[in-house]
Amino acid sequence: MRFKILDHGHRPLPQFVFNVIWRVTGFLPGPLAVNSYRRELFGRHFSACIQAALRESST
Amino acid sequence: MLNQVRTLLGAFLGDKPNHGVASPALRRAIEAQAAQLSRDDRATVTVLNARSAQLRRTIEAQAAQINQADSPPASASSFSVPTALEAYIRKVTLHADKVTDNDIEALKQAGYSEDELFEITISAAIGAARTRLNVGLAALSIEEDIHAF
Repeated sequence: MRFKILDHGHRPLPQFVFNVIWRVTGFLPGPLAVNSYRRELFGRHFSACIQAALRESST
Repeated sequence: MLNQVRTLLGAFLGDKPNHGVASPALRRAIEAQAAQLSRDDRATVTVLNARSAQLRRTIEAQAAQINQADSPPASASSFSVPTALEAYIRKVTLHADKVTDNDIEALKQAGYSEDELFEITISAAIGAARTRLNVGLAALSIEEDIHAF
């Protein structure tokens, strides 16, 4: 990850979960880290976009 | 559905009070103050954080311009992107795969924090994505016109 904050700058609960993922898989998926960091700024909106794009009608 | 996606993308740079790193009231006060500062005035961390909200909109507009489609939003016209960021924004917008650790390191040397760079990067990516979505939607509407004809 180019930004260290995406590896270590999360709030305690997500950081704990990510540490578990890291230990189990050996890496932390970038999209997960980006979407989880400061969710009110980007991740929440982007997740809503993905949800709309994947779950709603295409017409 | 695509319009909904466009609306949701737009929410990123909207006026929702919980955007940015400071409280809503503080943000409003600081944004008013930050608007009067020159782009190179970087006196305090507080001002830097508040400036990010306006900077985000400007970067989004610049990325849109680089993509040669939409004109920038009116809200972005009063605030210009610092020179140090221009090359980086261009790279994120057009060649995101070519961004290197050196680019990030150079911007850190120029005084930007990782938090700011995160916002700047997201802003440029959103600007580029929004423009491409708009171009795609415009192309679809042209195609519909052709079929109707």
